[in-house]
Amino acid sequence: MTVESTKIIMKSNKDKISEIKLKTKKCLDDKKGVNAIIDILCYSQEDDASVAIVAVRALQQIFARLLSVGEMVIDTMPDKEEDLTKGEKVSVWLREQYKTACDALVEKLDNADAKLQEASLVALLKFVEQEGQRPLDKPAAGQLSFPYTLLQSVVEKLLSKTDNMEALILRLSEVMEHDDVRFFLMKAIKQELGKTPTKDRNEVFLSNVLCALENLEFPESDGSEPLTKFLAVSDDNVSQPKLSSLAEQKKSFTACWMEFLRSELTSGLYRRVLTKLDEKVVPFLSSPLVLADFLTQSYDVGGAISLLALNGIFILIHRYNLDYPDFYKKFYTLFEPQIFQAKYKARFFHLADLFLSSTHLPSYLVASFVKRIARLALSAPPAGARLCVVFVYNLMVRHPSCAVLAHHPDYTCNTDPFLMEEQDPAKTKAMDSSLWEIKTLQSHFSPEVAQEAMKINHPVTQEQKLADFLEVSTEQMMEHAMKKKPTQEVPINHEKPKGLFDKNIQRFFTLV
Amino acid sequence: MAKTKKNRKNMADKVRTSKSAKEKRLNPFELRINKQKHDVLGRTQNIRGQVGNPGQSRTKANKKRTKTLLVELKQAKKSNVFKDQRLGEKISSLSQEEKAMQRFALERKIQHQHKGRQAEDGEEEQLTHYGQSLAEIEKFDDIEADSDSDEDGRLGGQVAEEHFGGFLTRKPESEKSNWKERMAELISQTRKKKYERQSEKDSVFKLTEELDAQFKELNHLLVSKKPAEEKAKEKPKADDYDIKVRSLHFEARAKPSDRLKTEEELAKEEAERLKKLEADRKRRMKGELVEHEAPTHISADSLDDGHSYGYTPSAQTNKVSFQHDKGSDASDDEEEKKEDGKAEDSDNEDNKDSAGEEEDDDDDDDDDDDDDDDDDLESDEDEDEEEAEKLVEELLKKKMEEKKSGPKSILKATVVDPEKKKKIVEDAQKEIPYTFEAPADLDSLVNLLSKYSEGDQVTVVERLVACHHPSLVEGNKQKLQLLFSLLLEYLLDSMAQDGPPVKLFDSLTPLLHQLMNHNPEACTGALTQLLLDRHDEFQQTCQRRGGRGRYMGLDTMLLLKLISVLYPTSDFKHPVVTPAFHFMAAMLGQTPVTNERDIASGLYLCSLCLEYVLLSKRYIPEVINFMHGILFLASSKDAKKVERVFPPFKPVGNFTNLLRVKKKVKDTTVLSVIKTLAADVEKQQVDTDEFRVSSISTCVQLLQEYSHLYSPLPAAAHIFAPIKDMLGKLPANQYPQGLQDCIQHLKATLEKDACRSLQALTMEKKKPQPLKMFEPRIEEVFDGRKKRKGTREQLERQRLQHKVKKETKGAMREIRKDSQFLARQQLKATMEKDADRNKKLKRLYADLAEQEGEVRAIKKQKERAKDRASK
Repeated sequence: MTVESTKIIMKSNKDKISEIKLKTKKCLDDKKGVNAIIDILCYSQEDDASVAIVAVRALQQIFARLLSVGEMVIDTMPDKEEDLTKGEKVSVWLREQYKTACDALVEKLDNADAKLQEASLVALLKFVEQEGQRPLDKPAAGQLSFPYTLLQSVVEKLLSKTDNMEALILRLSEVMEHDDVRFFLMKAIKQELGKTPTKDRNEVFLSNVLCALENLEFPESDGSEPLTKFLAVSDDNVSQPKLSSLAEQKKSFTACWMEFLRSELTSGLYRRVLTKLDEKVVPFLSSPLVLADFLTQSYDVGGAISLLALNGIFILIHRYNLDYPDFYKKFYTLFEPQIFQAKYKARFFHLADLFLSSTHLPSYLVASFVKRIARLALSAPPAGARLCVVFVYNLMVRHPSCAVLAHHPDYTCNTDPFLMEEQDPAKTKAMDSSLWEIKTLQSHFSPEVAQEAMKINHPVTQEQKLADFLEVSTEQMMEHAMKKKPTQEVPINHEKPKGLFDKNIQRFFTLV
Repeated sequence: MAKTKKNRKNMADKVRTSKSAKEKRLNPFELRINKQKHDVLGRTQNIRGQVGNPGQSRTKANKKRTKTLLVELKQAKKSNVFKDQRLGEKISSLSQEEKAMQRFALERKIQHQHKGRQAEDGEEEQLTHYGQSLAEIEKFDDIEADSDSDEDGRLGGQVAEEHFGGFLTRKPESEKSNWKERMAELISQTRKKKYERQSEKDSVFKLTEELDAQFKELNHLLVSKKPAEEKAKEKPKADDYDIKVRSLHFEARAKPSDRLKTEEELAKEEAERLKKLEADRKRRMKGELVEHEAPTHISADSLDDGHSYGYTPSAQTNKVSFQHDKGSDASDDEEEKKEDGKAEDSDNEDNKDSAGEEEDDDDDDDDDDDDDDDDDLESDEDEDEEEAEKLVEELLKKKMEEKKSGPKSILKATVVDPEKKKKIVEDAQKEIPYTFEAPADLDSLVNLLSKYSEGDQVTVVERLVACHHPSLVEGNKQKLQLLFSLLLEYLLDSMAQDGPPVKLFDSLTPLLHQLMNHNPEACTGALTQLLLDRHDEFQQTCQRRGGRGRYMGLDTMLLLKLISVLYPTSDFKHPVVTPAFHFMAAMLGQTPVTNERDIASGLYLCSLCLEYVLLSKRYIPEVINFMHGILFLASSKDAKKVERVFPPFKPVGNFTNLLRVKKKVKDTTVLSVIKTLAADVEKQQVDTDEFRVSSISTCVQLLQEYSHLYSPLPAAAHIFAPIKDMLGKLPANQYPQGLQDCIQHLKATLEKDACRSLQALTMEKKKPQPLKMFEPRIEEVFDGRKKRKGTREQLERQRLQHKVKKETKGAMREIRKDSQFLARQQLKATMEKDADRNKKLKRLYADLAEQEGEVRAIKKQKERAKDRASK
């Protein structure tokens, strides 16, 4: 073996590849050529990725063929080795090789070369498929033929604590649409999570798990019909009700998520989870309300995470009857000057629009929001200010009782009665106030904001589409102003300057 | 003869008079007049279609149809075509008579040709002029013609020969062929005549002179002096009135002065002057000492015979020049050296402030220069002129010196002293040229400008602008526009370097403004591009750093300032100012403050924003937020409580105490751009308590201004509420007294503004709809036609649509009338045919009846005869 391997190293890659191909062909053609498997296995251990990939593919071909024809199946295992027939001996030997090959391929999964990783994964998945359809050992009655141990070893490798395996996991998601794969995958993930205590779960591991979990997809059905789309399990031996029941699968999914959410998430992962929660998780949970605790906790964290948790909570309230008494109170406190700088500004305002879309909200509450948003507009960048003004108009259109904020004849007060610092929207005295902020914004430097603010002088009757203003950044506003061709000639100063710095600025800054 | 003349006359005149045939008298009953319902004032011309003659027009139309449509109808389904080749028959505009005339003319022509060939003298030709027979004209012109021919007997013959191709008096064939000879003869004859006339004139003149001379001799005999003396005596003495009148009479009237020169003329003059000076300079650079055009005034008393008396005019007028020949006069030299030194001293002083372009200044000019410092441009022009004068002087001096040294070296009279020559060349090189090629790209501009000192660069650019004034040559406008963008780019680039020449930028700003005035659109485009580039750079930084920006360099800061100088910043919407606003706001709102330079940049932008909004009083939230943050950086913080600050500031972090003053500082200074914002400013320079206190002071002063500016805003109290809070947290006792007072004053102002009563918002009342009035719409200037509203395209379209409609209607009417005409013609044809047939039929019937009658008559006769026989 050692002599041979040194010989192999001596050969050039091209020769090796052609040799592998030759031997693979021999293996496939002739039963007697199976001895070549050892060579190919050797080749697959090569450092050179190109050779290894070819070897891995060869192994995939050979064993897939062997599995499909049932070459490695032994009907009854005799007690003694000597009792084996010649054919059975070959089968035993092949099984050994198969096991070695599987181990080797699993090892390859954390190889540095992405292509090799992928090739190995593809080969392993092929084995899973073939072995499931023609199991090596006859399964016991009521047992499934699914090669769970193989899958588990794959999952174990994929949910690595050291390497980011997201590319491979995405590859895995190709087969995840098969109900049996999904089921066993969830089982494996759960097992993997259960194995790792909370403090051992590092960020890489968690992100791998999250990637796997968020790629799980369920068929759109109401669960009355049994699931039938299987990869490895042949249809005739579907005896397990768990496998074919959507409810069971959902239960398993929920368990996975619950286990996952128990771990300590970094803020990046936290955000990722929260952004995915509403679309990829909540619909597939057996009972979405189990998320309530997690979401309320997140909501209390503050900042961007609160913002993101908001959506999930709203979905729970809206569709799953979650009782959350202080929702609007907390929502009110989220309006802070920092939101205009936040990454999720557009999302936040979109949600705010959604939350405040009900016309049945009490007018004191809406008035408080109106005043608060207007107050924020005073210190916001131009795009934000315009968004705020439009938002305020939309609220006023929806709630005509708030019109008093814009039109209150013969009413004077010494200072603005509105209490900005008050956290409870019920106690802000917003209804006694008036929208002086919008009036102030009429002299905003940005013409767009000023024009928008001018509209308050007349009754606003129609809502504007908020989506048109959500994604507009200040830069876009500026570029719009810059790139627009001036219709008439550019006005310039007619006064002849005497220098760059004049008296006005020299009070604060001198040139030299 | 009489008969022939009569004959001649009749034909041509008949033709002529027939043209103005008697006007057809209009029958008033044939006219159709459209009555006007209303008289419209101011409408002078008749409206088309007011008076019509339907009968006439119908006849005309029918005639036309007969000529066209009927012919077609007749020729329809016929392969043979009748072609009318008669002269003028196809030209419809010709009347029958004209056609006749043409045909007649042709006929005569053919006849004439025929005759010419045969050379028969049967009948004399009849000549006409403007259609009138020449025979008649001849009658009146006879006398003159005779007198002409009498004079020298030449003209008559010549006319006959030369006019009308000479066919009246035909010469033999041999002479006719030798045309050249004849012309030569003619010319020689004319010359001879001319000479004769000249000689005659001379002789007459001589005779007159002679006569005059003789008369003079006799003159004294004729004239006596007496009458003149008597006249003087007789003249009455002038009284006051006369004197007054005369004085008024002779009083000098206001003379018309020269008109003011237009801008183009001025520019042209300036360019010409510079070009001339440049030519001079070049010549001197090459070392050619050519005579200068400008002559010096030399007194009539001066004994300028090429002999020198040891002084020059310049020395006399106490003018100093360093171009004297050193070897010539030692004492003179020394004196001059002294003065030179003086001049240079004062020069140095000047150069600090003024453009400092002059290297050979005069004593006289120094005083002027000091005065002129305030208004750069004018003084520069003056200086140019002075310089020109100086050049002239220099050249003169040289000439004098040459003369002086002339006797010494007669041999070298033409050869210029090489040393001197070298010196002149050097001087010329040192001097700034007067005209320049407009630079085509940035490199050439940099090459051009880098040769000169900072002060000279201004002059160079000034001259560049002057010699490329757009009114001089086509295409200069583009050159100036390019110059503007290149200059701006050059300046901005140099701002980014170490030791930025901000002074240069400052002094070039008026020129940039001037350039901008020539072509605002294109220059604005260039400037916008520069701004856009910088904004892109800023945005890229933002993207790279996750939404956090960076304060841009000095170039951007000064570009933003330049925008406020060049453009009106108070416009509601402006293609340059609005983006600049956004840019500044973005910088203030997105850049975290991490060092002293950031603070200075921010404060600079705040003061710039103040300048931008000084007139329009627009609200910039970012400025207030930033200054709140600055106060926060300076405030003493409570470790337990987290302050509420606006982004980009953060309540906690490394940089929250950037402006905490460590020890008491005595005084504050005004921050300087170059010492705080330039790229080469070291951290140690600004990491001082002085800087901190100055920043806080600037911030407080700015806030004072802003609070004053924004006090009319209804939400001013809310805008400044956080500032008010923060002011209370400043460690004021560590600040200088002046700053403390400022802070107190600001606090008081904000306090006062906070308690203003607020009027709640009310919407504008709807204007009541006015009742419709039926007043006439009065146009101030009525030009006789209705004005239609709409854009030009709309009006044009409407006009065309109307025209199409009108034309369609007209065409339909025509077609209808055509078919009616055709029907009429067909009916007529059928009727004619029927009538013809009826006639034939009748004739046949008549024949038959006659026959029948005859037959019956015969029959009757036979019967009668039979009866008779039977009886």
